[in-house]
Amino acid sequence: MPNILAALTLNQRLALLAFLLGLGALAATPTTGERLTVDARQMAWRAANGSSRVPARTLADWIVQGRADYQLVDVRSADAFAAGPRIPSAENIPLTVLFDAGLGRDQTIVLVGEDEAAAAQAWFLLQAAGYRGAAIVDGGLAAWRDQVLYPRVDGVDAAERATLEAVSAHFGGAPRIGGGADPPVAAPASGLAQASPAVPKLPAAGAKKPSPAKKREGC
Amino acid sequence: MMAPLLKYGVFGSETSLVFAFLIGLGFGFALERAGFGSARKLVSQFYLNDLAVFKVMFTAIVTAMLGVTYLSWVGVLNLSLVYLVPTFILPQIVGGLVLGAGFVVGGYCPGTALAATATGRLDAVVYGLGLYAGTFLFAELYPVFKPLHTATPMGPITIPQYFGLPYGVVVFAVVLMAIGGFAGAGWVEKTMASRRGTDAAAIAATRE
Repeated sequence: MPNILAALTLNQRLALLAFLLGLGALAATPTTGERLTVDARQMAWRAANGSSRVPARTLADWIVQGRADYQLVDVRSADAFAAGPRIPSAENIPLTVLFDAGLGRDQTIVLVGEDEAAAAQAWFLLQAAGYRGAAIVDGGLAAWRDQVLYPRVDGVDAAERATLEAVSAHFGGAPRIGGGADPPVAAPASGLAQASPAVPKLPAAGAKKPSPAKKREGC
Repeated sequence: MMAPLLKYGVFGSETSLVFAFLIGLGFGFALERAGFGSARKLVSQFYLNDLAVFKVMFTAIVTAMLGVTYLSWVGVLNLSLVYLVPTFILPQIVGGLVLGAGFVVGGYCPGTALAATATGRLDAVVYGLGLYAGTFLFAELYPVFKPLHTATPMGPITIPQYFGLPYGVVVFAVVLMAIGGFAGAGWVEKTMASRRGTDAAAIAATRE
């Protein structure tokens, strides 16, 4: 056996090596990123320390300021997104295609969904897959409605009240005094919906902000 | 650590340009060292005198393919994140034929033209100018080419997907093809050499 190997030229040895590697490749199972390895302790800490929650008011400020360093993703199905209330500037990426959407692993991704549980499910999947910037809106769409669109203004000082009014007006809502979670009758029922055409002063809340340049390949 | 490194955020797209530059350096170096800075050597491929181009390219394909397979098998490389150029089968066949014709007539292909320019060959410089002129013309006349350019889209499809074969089987098949191709190429070269006598051997031995 050693004699045969010694008698081969370099090229022939390389060919033999390639053949053996090719033979070995018959058993190969390539990784395609579907199976994830989760560090359970790290995930538990991350969930517990609350750093992945973005208060609805903070998100509202980001939208008003026109910040472009985050991406707001709504993980509901396309039908639910079209039919239901939504936060302006949210991009609809249903949960089932979340991993095909080309989100950046270092990008801040704020998640909102049918309810807080749906957003949390998406948060877990993204975090497990290495998207360290994933976060959820604290309280989900309900918090958006109750804290941004129709904030309670009884018992707050004047400056705070003015801010709340300005922010809620920007998104087409109105502040309320007391009462339950129901919006005041006067406010438009579609306050949570798409663009607020009545408020032109800041970049149109419904307009999609320029998505971060993803297509860097194939140029 | 997982690869592709860019997709996992190990570095950003600006840094990736630096790596692209370094990889380009390596590629140009390899081309020149393989002798592909010489138009004569490149064109001998088409006259079946010297099949070095075929051998070098196939070697590169097999090396990269085996490397990707094993890295992905070990779990270091996420294969689904590697960029695949979308397949438009008809325009790509047409484009390949045009490129092949230009290759034989001009004596270079784009990469080797740059490599040869680096060694000071004037014909490579002219070829490069033709390259830019052709690219410019294509871009300016794009509306004319668009129907062909976007015909028969198949998406970023792979051979295992298309034939429904397991990934490893395709890898093994390509390795067999490569080894067979090398043996065949060696036979072809020998046949052509003996047919043309010492002239062919002299041309093949030209290392410019």
